[in-house]
Amino acid sequence: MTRDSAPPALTADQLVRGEDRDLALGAKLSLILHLALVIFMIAKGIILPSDEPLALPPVLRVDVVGLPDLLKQEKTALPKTVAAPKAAELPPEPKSKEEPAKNVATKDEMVLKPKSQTKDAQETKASEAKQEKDRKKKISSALDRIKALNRIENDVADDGIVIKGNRVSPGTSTADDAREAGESSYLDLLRDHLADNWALPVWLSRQQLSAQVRLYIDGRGKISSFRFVKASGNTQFDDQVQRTLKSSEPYPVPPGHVAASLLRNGVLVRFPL
Amino acid sequence: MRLPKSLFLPLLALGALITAPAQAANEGASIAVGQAKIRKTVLALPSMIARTPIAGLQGAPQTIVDTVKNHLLFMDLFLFLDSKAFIEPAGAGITLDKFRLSDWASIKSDFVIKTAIERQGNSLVMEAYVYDTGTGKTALAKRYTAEANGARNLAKTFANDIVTALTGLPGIFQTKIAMVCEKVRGKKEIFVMDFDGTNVQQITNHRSLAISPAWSPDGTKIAYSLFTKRRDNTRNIDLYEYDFRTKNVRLLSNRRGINSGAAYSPDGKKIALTMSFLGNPEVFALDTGTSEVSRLTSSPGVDVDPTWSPDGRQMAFVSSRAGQPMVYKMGIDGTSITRLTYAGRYNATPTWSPRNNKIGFAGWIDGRFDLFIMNPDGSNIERLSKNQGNNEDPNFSPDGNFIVFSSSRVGGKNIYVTNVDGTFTRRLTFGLGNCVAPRWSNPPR
Repeated sequence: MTRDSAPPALTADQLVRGEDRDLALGAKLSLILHLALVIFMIAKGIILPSDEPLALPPVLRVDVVGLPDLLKQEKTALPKTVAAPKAAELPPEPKSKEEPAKNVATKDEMVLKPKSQTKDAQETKASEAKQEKDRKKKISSALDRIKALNRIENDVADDGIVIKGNRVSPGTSTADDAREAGESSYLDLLRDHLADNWALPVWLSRQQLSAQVRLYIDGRGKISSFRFVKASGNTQFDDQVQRTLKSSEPYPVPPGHVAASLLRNGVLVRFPL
Repeated sequence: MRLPKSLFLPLLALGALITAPAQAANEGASIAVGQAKIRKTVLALPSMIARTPIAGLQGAPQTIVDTVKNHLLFMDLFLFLDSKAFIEPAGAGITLDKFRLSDWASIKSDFVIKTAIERQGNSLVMEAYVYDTGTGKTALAKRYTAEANGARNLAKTFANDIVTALTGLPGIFQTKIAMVCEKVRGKKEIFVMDFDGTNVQQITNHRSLAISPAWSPDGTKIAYSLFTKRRDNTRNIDLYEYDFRTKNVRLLSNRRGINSGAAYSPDGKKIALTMSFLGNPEVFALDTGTSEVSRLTSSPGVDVDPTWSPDGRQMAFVSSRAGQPMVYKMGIDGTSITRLTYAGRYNATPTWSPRNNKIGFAGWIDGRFDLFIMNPDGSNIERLSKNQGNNEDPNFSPDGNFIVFSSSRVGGKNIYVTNVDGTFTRRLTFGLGNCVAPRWSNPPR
């Protein structure tokens, strides 16, 4: 590139070199700019964490997948666990149906409660004693069930699959992104909440008026501020819009991931459409 | 380092890429609240304070309160709170410093109407306020003076002011309705009544057939057409104008054939009407000053029933140029003719809302006429009446809230009024024979 003047025969070669030089410059610049972009995006992600709201309607996702295997545990264990309390229970009270499960969950409570009750209520000692007896029976039956469950689990561990791919699994409604799903369902909630308070006097409803308001809601569901993006031009209509916004307080408390954007970017509320 | 030109565009694209997410963020989330619930406005009208002895007021407080209530209820826009619900302590005043607005806001009253009256010499003086309990603003504050026997008129004026203060629309309580009634069999005369069917007056006494009345915009004149017999024993339909101030009748046009279906322009300088002196009935504009006419339509079909748009720039009319009579509109110079209705077999008597948002008409459907309204471009047709006999001759009230029409729903033809939602209908004429062609006047200026 910095050689002294070349003979005329080399002109073509020189030209090629010149193009090479441009290409090299371009490549360098491209590399630098790409790097700059990557650095910028990373930096932006760190400095300004993006939780910008996106208006997304609720998404119903249907995943088409192979049916899961029916496990031995599910086929055999479930009916058994239901059957067990039936055998143990003496009176078929709905209350007693719940109690065993509760007792299993908190052992301390189940031991302490009957004691304190018997201390307080002396005159009903006899009935209390009977109840305690019942409880002990239930506890023992519950313990039996836990043992039974453990046994079943051990069995399943040996040979889990009973029927391959022959079970319908429960469906779910979901969205591509949990954050987006959370937000759109919150917006649904917000819309329903506003719609409950959105009323017009007869003469205003007969005119085709509309307005748009950007509404900023804080983390406790209170209005941080609002401003008209588009006023209807009719003072009464705009007053009614304001009245609706104010009378809708407190708003549903926004979930954590929505709260920040609701306070910073707000939500555009359109009256009526 | 000097940048080659070829790199400029990619750089620009990069810049756009960087700023794009920021712009998208500004768009943000948005929700549409949807159509509002419709709610009647709740009013509270506590009893009027008499500042001079009741005896001297000759029942004026009761007359005023009753009239205001009746008239406002006629609007079908308001509800009055029962006085049993009032919690305000006795002795409260009518100005904001003399009573607590919260006493009314807490019982869910949107507005409270406070009045006081006194006798001054031979006249009644009423001080009246309307407060918005939501905002605490004073919607109306006025002092009315009337003659001792003018309580009812005072109440009408006050009720009009309340409607205007609350809705922004003109009050209709001093408007009148003109119509054709056949009180004596075979003789049709022009009659006038108040908006609510009271105070009926016979205007003409031709002992002939007077038809198609029309109010001048200032409400001082009525144009109408009359079947006459000429000296050569031919029949004609002539156009006359009645003046309420002089009680005189003036001939506007006796051109050969039909001179009927008059409609004053909003400025009152012209009357659009149907004339047939050229043979085929066409719509003409007649200058009320010079009685000169200019032709507006020119079609092989029949062109009738002109109605002006509130800005006076357009006109809707009925034409059979395409076979069936349908509603059309045009500029007032007769240009840019647009067909508005396509449905049905016969659509007649259009009326253009003074609010400029609707055109009403009578449509022949299921073997009878029923009322319809549509947007002025012909879209969004709504049916207002069904299975209630023939319903014809719709005409908008000056506030656009009501349509007056003639109906044969109880046998014979009578005048009825309905709101534009079709949810409220009221009969106005009783014992006047068959009444048709109602026309609603503007409020007096």
